[in-house]
Amino acid sequence: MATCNDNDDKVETFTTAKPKLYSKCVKCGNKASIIARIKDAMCIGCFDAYYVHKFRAALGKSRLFLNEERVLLAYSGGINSVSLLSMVKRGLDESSHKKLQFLVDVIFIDEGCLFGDTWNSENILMIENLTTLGFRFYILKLESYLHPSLKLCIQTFDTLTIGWPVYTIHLECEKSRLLKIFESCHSSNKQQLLELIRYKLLTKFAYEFGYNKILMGDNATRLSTQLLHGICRGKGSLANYDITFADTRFPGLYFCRPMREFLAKEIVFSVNISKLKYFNFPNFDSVNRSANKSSIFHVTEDFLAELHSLQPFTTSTVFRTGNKLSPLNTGQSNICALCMLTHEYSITNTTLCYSCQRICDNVKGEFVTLLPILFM
Amino acid sequence: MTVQCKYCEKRAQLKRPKTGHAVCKSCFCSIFEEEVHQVITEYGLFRKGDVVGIGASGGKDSTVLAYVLNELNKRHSYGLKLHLVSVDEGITGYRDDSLQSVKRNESEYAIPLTVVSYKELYGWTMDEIVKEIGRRNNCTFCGVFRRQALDRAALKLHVNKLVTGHNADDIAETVIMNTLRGDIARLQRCTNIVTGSESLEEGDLVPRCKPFKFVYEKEIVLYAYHKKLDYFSTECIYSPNAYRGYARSYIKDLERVHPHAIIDIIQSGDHMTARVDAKMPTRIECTRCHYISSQILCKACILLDGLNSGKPRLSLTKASRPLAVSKEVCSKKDKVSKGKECSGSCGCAEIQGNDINYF
Repeated sequence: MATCNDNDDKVETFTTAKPKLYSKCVKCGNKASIIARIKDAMCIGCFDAYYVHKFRAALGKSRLFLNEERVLLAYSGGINSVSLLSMVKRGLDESSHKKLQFLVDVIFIDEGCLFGDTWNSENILMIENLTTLGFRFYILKLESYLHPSLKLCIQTFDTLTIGWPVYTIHLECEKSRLLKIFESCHSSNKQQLLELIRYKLLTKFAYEFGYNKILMGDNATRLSTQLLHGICRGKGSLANYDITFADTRFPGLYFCRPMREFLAKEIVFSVNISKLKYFNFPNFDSVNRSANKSSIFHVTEDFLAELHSLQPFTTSTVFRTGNKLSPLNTGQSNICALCMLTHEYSITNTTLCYSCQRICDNVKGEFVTLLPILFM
Repeated sequence: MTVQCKYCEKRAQLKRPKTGHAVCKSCFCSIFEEEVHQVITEYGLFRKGDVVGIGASGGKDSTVLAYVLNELNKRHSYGLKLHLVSVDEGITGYRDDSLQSVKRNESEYAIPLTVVSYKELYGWTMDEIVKEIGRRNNCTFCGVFRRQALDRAALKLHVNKLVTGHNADDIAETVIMNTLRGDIARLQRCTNIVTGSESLEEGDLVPRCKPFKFVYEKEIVLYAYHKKLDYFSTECIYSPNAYRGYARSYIKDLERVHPHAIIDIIQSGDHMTARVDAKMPTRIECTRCHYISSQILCKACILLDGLNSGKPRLSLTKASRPLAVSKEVCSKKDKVSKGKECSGSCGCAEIQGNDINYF
């Protein structure tokens, strides 16, 4: 099919008002150094204020958090969770009337087992970083999801213990079972499976340790990719869950997304300005670069990124479209055993939603027999 | 090594794009027809004695649709009276050639053909419009006008159903486009297999249906190829810059990764519902042409106004319209009161006459 470039005529790109060089900050009129939104140039001070305000507004509007409540923060060391943690830290350090009223504990899920257990200096640095911030934090291995008691698997850093985490029990058996599940899963679904297990592990942990709110670092760019990706996988009726501030798919538990209105670009700006250290741990993308065109998620990510560069309002429009969708309301009877969402089938012999059923149809032999492990 | 057809003893000649099954030519064609038949019966698209207008452009989709409907009508005795309806947008080097192939189909399948043209309905051909508006956004004009043109032709011919050759890829593209544009109202209805009212009352539009909702574009091409159908296969000369192009290439990329993704997107579209408090347009009638509209003037009239007043770009912007109409009405009112006459082309008379308070 013809693309823009095939045309002999001048290639027409979408017109966006180009900000002038050395333009002024839209807020204070000083020299601007950042273009945060489409055409709003800002100086660093005003950008920081805008960023903090947006974060606090998202938390405040939700009216979810109670005084003195212990809240869990899912920390991966990536740029989003680093920014989230620093925002929370700033909130907790504020003077009395602005201070965040809840208490935060941090959890890090160690996914190293999938990528050859490479616990290295980067991890140590991360732990050092976290301990200096003064949060209580837990380290949990991904494979402990398959262990009956998480209490035994947990590694807590309450005091200033810096160094290699020493696990009290060995999880070799669980590890090999987990690896087996991943091996039998189709390569384009591995990332989904990982996210699913991560969610379920967090849920299990929260239930066992009595947390009922988990802060997640998802940003608008990622959420809109997820939304479109969900649509491509037949999850349209459930797409709203992936994008709301408080995801309530697990009873009695809120997955909160305070960063949901920030574009990835804004977060990068903020992290760079504050000179925060973030960490890159191996993941499916870094291990297998050729996977770029081989999964629906990557194709979707590329597509949105390209379109966003042509039309800078793409991401926010997709995001807002997701906000306008309603979650399905067919009662509690049809809950998918895998993704825990209410699905559209009223009378079926399956316990899965359309999309999860499709994943299971596509997997290689052994996965189906291992699947019940995930239904916990 | 020869691969055997999944359904018979013969050698397989192709791999079905939708399922990946190896099939022979004759099995492929019969499965294709059977699947369309299933959709028609399952959704109850037609009733005996219906006069069905086939929106025919001369392209692969509509040619295959006309051929398959004609075959199925005879085979399963649907009792339908078929009628080809074509719209001549007036695009030199594209539509005039494709209309020739529709005309050949007319004689070949013995289905009567009616052609309506933009020139006679609106006074503009697409060539003239593109000269005015340039190469960007011209699909907006063409699409809006075509929708109305088909409806007008259907009313004129007393057709009770209008079928179009939209295939699964097209519908998936539309779902993606509506998501990208945040058009929640269209997102809800764009995958409906039948749109418009079922019980036809006066003033209502002819219901439209898409029998190819679950048929992949690739399979249509394969079917046309194996049946040696005569169709016109050039892309519209004005469309390369259309926004749809992005959604289109995205769908093709997805299909490459996972052929089932197209059906999955349609499944998503079928089940997406808007929040109760989401803002929705209300369906009213255009005060000028009485066509369905969500605003006081329908999109076609707005676009025509833009063209006739020499400012076609203005009519494309979203928010400016009601304002622009109001300004127009006010200025015309002043003119009338000052003794100058209004030509009546602006719609101010109707708006004043109907006394609609639209602010």
